[in-house]
Amino acid sequence: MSSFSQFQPQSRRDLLVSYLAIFILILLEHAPLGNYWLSAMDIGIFFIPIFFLARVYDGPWGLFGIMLLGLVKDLTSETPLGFWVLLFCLFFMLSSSQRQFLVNAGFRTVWSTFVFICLLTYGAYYLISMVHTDLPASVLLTGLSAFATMISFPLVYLPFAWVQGDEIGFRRG
Amino acid sequence: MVDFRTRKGEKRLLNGTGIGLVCVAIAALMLFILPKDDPRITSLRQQSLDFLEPALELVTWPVRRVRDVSGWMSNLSRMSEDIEKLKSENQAMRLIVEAASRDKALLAQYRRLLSLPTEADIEIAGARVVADLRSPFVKTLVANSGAQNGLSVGQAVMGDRGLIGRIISVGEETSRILLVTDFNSHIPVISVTSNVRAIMSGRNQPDPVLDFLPRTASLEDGEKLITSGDGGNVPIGLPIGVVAFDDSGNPYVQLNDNLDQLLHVRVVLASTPGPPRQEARKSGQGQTR
Amino acid sequence: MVQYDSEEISFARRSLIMGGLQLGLGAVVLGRLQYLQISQADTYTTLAEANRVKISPVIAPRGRIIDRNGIAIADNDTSFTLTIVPEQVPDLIGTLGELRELIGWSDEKLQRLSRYVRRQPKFKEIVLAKDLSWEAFAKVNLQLPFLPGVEPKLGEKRVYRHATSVAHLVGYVGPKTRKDIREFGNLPTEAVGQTGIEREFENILRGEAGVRHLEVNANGRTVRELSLEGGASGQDVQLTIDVDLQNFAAKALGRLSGSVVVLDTRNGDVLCMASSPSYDPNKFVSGIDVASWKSLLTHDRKPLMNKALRGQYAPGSTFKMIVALAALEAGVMSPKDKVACTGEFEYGSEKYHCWEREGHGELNLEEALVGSCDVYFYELALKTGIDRIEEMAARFGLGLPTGIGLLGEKNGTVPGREWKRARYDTGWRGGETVITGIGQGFLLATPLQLAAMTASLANKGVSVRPRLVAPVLAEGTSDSVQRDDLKISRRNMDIVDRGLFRAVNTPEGTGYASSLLINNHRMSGKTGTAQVRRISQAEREEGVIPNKDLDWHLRDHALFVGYAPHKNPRYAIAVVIEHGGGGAQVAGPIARDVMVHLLRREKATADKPAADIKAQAADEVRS
Repeated sequence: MSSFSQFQPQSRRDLLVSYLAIFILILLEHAPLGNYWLSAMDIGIFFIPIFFLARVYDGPWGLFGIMLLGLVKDLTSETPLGFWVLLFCLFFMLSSSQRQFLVNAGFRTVWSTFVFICLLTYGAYYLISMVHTDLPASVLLTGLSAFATMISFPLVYLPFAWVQGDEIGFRRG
Repeated sequence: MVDFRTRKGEKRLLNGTGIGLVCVAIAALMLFILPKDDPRITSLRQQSLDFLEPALELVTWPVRRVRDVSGWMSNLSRMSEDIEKLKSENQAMRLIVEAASRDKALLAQYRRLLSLPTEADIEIAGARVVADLRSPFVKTLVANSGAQNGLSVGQAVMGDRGLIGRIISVGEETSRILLVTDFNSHIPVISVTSNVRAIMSGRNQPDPVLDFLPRTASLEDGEKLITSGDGGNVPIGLPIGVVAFDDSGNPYVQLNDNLDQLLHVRVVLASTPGPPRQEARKSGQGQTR
Repeated sequence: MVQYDSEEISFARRSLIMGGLQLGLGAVVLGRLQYLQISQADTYTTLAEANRVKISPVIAPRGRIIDRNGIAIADNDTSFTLTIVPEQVPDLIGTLGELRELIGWSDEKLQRLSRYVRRQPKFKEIVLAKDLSWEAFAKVNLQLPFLPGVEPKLGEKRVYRHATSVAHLVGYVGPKTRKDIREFGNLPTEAVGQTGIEREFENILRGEAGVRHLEVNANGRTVRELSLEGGASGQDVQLTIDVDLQNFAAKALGRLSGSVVVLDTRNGDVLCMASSPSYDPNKFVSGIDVASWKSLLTHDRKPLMNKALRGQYAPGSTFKMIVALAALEAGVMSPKDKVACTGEFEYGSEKYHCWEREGHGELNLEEALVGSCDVYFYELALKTGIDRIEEMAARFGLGLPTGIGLLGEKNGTVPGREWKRARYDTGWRGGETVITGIGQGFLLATPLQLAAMTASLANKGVSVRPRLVAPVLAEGTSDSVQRDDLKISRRNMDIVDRGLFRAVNTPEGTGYASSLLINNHRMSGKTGTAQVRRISQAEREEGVIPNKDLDWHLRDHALFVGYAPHKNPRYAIAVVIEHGGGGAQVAGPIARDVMVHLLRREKATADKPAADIKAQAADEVRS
């Protein structure tokens, strides 16, 4: 079983690549998929590179970049400004808090942690939408969105981490 | 002042948790303090879409290509069947076009006789859907045409076979389309056979419903619906769909177009004046709630 | 033995204390969680539901008021309404300005609305506009994405299709008042019947409100309908009125002040009860403006009053049949006995005059009815006596409520000895009997009473109680018609009947100008002219001033009562025109026109195949 060491981005380039990945996935989420249910859901595939970044990046300023990306998400999704900013921040902080725990964790543990944080984040998504927006989010759609996000984790995380040099032939700091 | 030391031994004012809490506080402030329907925010959204449009096109290109290819392949499998269907539709269309031309000439004659102003021809502008902003909260699409192409707020947008929404905000190069299934969409319609007027309202569900029906209205299942032109802005006669009834007997609308399959749309460039603050809204003041 | 250094012991102790504190805190939190989420689960679920779910009454459609043929007199129209919740509107002034452009409010109205909205609580739903046209409503709906906080709604509005001709009968609905709440309880509906049938049958017309459960968000904005428990629609109230006849009679009255009542003599159905001048009840539905209300109240011809029911007039010569029957039944005079009319009659020191100044000469009872000779009836009244006249009048329903069951009905006055004693604390005088004989003096009757009296004459001494509401819904009425035999000899009824026939259908009759012949049917009847002023001797000597030269309020009332067809009568009519002048000149022609319309329609209906009649009625109902 491969394990994940504490990966350090060696340069700003690595950090920017992560940000770029999040940005691309935010835009990709708006692709016209041709299916009512897929379009109606809010699948958070962009959470996956955020999870990766939170897990490996120790710097203090990562969160500000995440906030900016959350703002991009808000602007393109017609949600009130601050909605996705808040969710991105929460997700990032929850993921960062598990950094020590996931130092030598196997893939299944990492995935489980992601699932757990996803549940908390989508729980917050539902609660905030109930309180703030004009329409309460549908429990069904919120649940389906969370589920779709969780099961798409391997599809995005594994290739992304491989590109970043973390999964196989990782660099030991 | 408390300071923290990182692994590298650097001093910091705040540690990671502190920074996180500050960010969360800022985000929460944005979320709960900023006004929901501020026109400046809507304008900012539209400008962002204008700015991001090239990136949206680039990122969504693979998905659209895949859909094109899969659409092409499924069309291949049904080719002979489709060809026969298209041939007979074409024949029927020819007759309809001929009849429509005759009616148009007759109508123009009547207008002249009654000294009514002539109706301006309807112009159509094509656009491509570059982003699907649909979520549990809103039902909007982004098209790659804007003010520079003659689009303005309030214009009706058609799919292949019927009305699918209206322009809700316009930037220079992009515009947002509020789909008829959105909760904020309310369009005056009329049934072709029984002449019943109603408002077609979105419910954030796949099918919009018919509101404000007269008490004595009796609609038939399958009856065609078109825009009624009431209230101005949306021209009369645009096809929409047909009437259907749910299990409780409440009428809803089965749209002609499948909103999930839209890749190209047609914007009806209305010649009638828009809402009073049309000029102000060209920068995008329409809001969805 | 293991030695522990002091640091280790201190650390362990501190750890224990911290751990214990954490455990204690954790226990408190867990305990509170258990209390809130398990023990009090039901309470908080209910509270959360109460916050989440708004209960809104669904006002049931109000029952219609329809005529005997099912044609709607009072109906419900769709009303398009706009509401606003200020809390949800970021720019209130801007939004109101936009609505002004869309709906077309004046600047004044906009300012008034702005002031009103600012004074209301921010969370309250405020009605901005009612009864919008579909075009304006559609315009607002199209612009809704740009008008946060504005909500269009569908309501119902009461509409009176035949407005002025039925106003006095059906009454009107208006915004509910404290008095309404006291009488009917706290009603979910806004509009409550204020007068007429709308008020009398409020409980039947209103129906029962339903309940709608709506899911709301944190701001109180409705996002979804959860359930709808429909109530019960109000029941329709069917009147005996024939709205076509009602409209015709109202038109025949024109600008005159008066009333027309037509009864079906077989069952007492009120086919027509028109009063003029009238008013438009539609103006009251949303609340009438002060200026219009004042104008109606102060109008000298009293448009708000249902004169058929509340107008009390001296019946004049239309009372002579009662005097005749009282005399015949008492046997004080034979129908062949003659009286000489010289134009004057002396009783005591008083002189009483006949309308025919030169006198009629000698005439018997029948001839006296035909010529409406006052002198004959002065003589007859004295011979009969006031007691018998009073009793006969009461038999024909005069001086008593008709039993129609409408609020505000006046009883009229049939004077007598006891009445005068009670009223004026003085005795009855012979001269008062004299003038009672020609239907003047203290005698008063309403047009409805006169019509009921005429119906009894038409039925040859069998009275019917007038009814306005179809029996199945009328409270306190039975299904069957109430007919009473007045126990008057048929022979005497025939004498009076002949007199009434000749009064209209022979050249000597005062009502000859009102004769008709439709489908071999003729009308029998009696004219009447009631003085409202005393003519002095000096005026008589100089020449009585004609009505046309008098101020309106000094002119005589004009009356006519009749029934048709003269054989097997079916319809009885009473026409009273306030200060109209002569009964023969003014009231008689109106009665004739109404009867002609009725009989022609009857003929046309009789000629039509049954299927066509039904189809026509159905069309009228749909329209």
